[in-house]
Amino acid sequence: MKQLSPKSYETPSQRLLDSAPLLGCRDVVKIFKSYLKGGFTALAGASISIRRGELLALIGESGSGKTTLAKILAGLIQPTSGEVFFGDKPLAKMGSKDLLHFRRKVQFVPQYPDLALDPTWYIYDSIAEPLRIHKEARTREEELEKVRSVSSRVGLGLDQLRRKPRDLSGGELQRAVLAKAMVLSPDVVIADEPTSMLDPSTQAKIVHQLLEAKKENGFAVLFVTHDLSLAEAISNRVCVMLGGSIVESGAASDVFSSPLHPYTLSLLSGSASGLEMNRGTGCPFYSQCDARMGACSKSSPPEFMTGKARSVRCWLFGQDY
Amino acid sequence: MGKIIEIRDLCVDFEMQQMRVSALNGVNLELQRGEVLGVLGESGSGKTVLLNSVFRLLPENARSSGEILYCGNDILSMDRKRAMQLIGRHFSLIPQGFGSLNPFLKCWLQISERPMEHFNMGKEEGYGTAVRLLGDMGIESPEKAARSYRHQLSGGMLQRALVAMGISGKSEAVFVDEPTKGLDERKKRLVIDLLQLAKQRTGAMMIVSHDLCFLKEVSDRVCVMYCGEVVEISKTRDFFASPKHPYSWALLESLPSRGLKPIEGENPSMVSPPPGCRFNPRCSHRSVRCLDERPPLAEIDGFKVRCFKYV
Amino acid sequence: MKRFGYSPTGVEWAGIALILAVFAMTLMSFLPGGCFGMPSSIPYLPPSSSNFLGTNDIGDDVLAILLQGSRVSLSIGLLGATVSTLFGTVIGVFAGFMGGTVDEALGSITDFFLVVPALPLMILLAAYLGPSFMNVVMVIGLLWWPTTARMVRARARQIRGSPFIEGLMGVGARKPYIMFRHVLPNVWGIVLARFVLAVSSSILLEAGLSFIGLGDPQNPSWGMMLHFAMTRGALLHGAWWTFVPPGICISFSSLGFILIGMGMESRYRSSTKSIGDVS
Ligand SMILES: Nc1ncnc2c1ncn2[C@@H]1O[C@H](COP(=O)(O)OP(=O)(O)OP(=O)(O)O)[C@@H](O)[C@H]1O
Ligand SMILES: Nc1ncnc2c1ncn2[C@@H]1O[C@H](COP(=O)(O)OP(=O)(O)OP(=O)(O)O)[C@@H](O)[C@H]1O
Ligand code: SF4
Ligand code: SF4
Ligand SMILES: [Mg+2]
Ligand SMILES: [Mg+2]
Repeated sequence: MKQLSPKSYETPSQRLLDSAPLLGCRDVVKIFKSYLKGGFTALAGASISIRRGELLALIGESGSGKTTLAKILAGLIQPTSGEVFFGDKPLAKMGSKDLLHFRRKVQFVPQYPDLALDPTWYIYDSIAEPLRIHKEARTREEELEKVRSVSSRVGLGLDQLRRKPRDLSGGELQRAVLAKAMVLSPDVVIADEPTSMLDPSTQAKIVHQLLEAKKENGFAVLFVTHDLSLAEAISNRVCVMLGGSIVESGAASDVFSSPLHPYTLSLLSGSASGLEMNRGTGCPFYSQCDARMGACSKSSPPEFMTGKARSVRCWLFGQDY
Repeated sequence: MGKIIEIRDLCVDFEMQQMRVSALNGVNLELQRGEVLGVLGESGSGKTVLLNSVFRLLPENARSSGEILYCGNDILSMDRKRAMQLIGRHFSLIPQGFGSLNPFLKCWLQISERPMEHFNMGKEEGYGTAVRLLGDMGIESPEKAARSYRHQLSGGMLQRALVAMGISGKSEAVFVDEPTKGLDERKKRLVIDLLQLAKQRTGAMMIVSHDLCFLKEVSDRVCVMYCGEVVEISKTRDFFASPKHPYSWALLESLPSRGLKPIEGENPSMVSPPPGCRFNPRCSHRSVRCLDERPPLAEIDGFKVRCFKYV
Repeated sequence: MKRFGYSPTGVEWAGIALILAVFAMTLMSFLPGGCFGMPSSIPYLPPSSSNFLGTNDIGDDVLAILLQGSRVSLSIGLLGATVSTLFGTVIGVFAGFMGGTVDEALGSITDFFLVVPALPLMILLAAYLGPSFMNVVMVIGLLWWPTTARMVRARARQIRGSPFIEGLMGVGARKPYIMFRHVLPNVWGIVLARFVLAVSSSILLEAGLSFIGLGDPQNPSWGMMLHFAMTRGALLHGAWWTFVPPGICISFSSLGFILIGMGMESRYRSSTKSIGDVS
């Protein structure tokens, strides 16, 4: 494992890391009830934090729990244990007023755009709805203005806004859902694969618009994606997920140029070998890891800091740091 | 090599209260036996509408003209019941959205629905097939996934369930709408393997996708659509080496690996498309002629392209 | 009809024609008296050119009464259906959306009314409350909602589980708001279908109640006509013109509503085979 040389150099994006986290969670566990005994553990102690103004990419294989984590951060489902905090307040202890504020400031873009909008509503009304709920637009004209500007950002014209969801193409719907999340100019946008149904050119356009809006309003983005080249191109920081926990996180340039965790390495090279993931005790990557040691099967590795804001969950990095 | 499907002059319009959306405008396309045809194009350019027309799935407000020939029979004008029977037996569709999965049926029932309905597959076998297909695509515990409902599966798993739905029974042609969205590289590999295996068993495949690397790997020919028109048809190798149409060229330039440069200008409106060449407002090779004359789909040594640059 | 995104099938056209006929009868009943035949002093006059459908036991023109009766039958049908559909919808949406204990409680109430033999209970209630127009409406409304509630509840649960509701909670929408603005429009199809079906059952129920003498004698409906034909000896006289026309009217008007309602229901079924079906 020679190529795993930890380097931690300052990058411009690391300056972001000094600011306090805006939204985050600590040791979140989520167990879904299922007919399996004891339920299904989708998240096994995941911690993540999003800072103001950053674009955090969350990558990981299908089924690793990205959507579950994103939904928990957005307050859509309750974690089995662990806590979510917005600013410095834990979500579980928020009163209804704070909660409403949280709902206003944190917006979620779901993964399935074709199920994410009310089929009986016009797209325009669906996009305008967050404004109406939070009484952000005083007049019809103001509302129209806001909806139009955010829709033209994502490339939807008025003629598309006047239709119902079933009359739009997959990609158009996906953009409508993104527009709905951006219309309130929130502090955090949690976007679950927001460009999976777009062609490269439209994708590039949307990503540029998102980055631009981010710069204008200073919101933070959690970007769940499978497209590694996209993640590399746009993110400031990356978290890699495996089996319900974050196994590596750090500045994007560091993680992509010198991945530390053996899993990240295989993910980036696109050549993970076996299929089975270890859901028992020990490291989740144990059954496939080339560098496994005795300790790995006994207990799951804790988070080791290998540099500034760079952490890895792997026993390989346990001794020196 | 014969043609399985031949689409001639297909036009599809949607009538709405205040507008008329022209989703397809004179599409000519054929699917040869034994080939994989990749279809790519701008979001909203009519790819899904094209597949839906073949399957007679267009909504009530759609007005279509032209022909879709299968063995000399026009699917579009055929009696609906007979058409559905024919389509069900010979073609299968992997739809784009997860909305086409029924939330109240277990996954395996939907995966094996087509063979169970059209080819007398038994329940046991249906379940077995579903589990095997899901396992082949790298789902960790396929039995559990097969017995889950829609909301219990992750996006990538649902996507693979959709793919399984398309290849669970034998068919002469499989029509696939974005099979790799939401899948990571490794799962994509497995899906590619499985599709290629399925291709050997079935006649032909038409794959709509935005994932150019994926198309590069699996397809024999690609067809590029823009604003309801076919603008280029080439051999895959030629296309990725040297795209002909200015839109294709700009599309390849906008990949994240090439710097994420979007094509300048707005997406065209399907309600009032630009006159002349529909790409002209965004084209850097535009000439006077492009502004008011529709370029024909010209055939030039092995590829077809709809652009005046080549005529 | 195309403009409403709704093109009726042949059966539904038949239903529409029947219903239009009933409405036409109601309209005609508002024409000044004597348009269709003067009351004659002779009872049981067979149909003739002056009395199109003959006269009844007290010499009134049957056609005039029949037209009058359409007014009563139709208004009781519509009102009864409104009350019962309203009830069923509110309970169904509430139970389906809230889930949990609310759902269970409302569910057992619904089940109770579903197993209670409705017709005998109605007879009891109607007899107890006394014959009047409003009482008949109330009795029908209070007892005819459980099936509607059930179907609406099932649909509302389906909506509740779909991801867009989760998204709405995520932007901070309140539950009553979601129920009114999102769940209700999505169950609207089934509510409408149930309403049309309820009109037909209300017409039949009213006829049944009136026939056994529990209707409002001030406003003779078609059922009441049958009742009078029974009790005042028209049958013995062989005066078929006093009871066949109201019988036909009852059957055909309820048939009309049933045909449309069933068409709407099957449409709704096929459209929810997979909800949010976009592709
Ligand atoms: N409601 C649920 N009930 C039971 N299991 C669930 C439920 N939701 C998710 N799961 C399971 O949790 C695991 C993680 O799902 P999640 O949707 O978070 O994956 P993901 O990382 O988003 O994957 P993808 O990239 O495919 O979308 C999956 O194995 C899934 O089957
Ligand atoms: N039922 C409909 N009524 C009106 N317009 C429609 C309808 N269905 C599709 N359209 C329009 O037709 C055009 C083509 O849609 P289609 O779904 O085929 O796009 P697509 O090429 O599949 O795009 P994507 O890649 O985003 O899925 C779009 O502009 C869409 O808005
Ligand atoms: S902890 Fe052990 S098994 Fe897990 S990734 Fe590190 S070396 Fe491999
Ligand atoms: S026809 Fe003209 S405008 Fe159209 S793509 Fe060719 S050069 Fe560009
Ligand atoms: Mg997901
Ligand atoms: Mg599509």
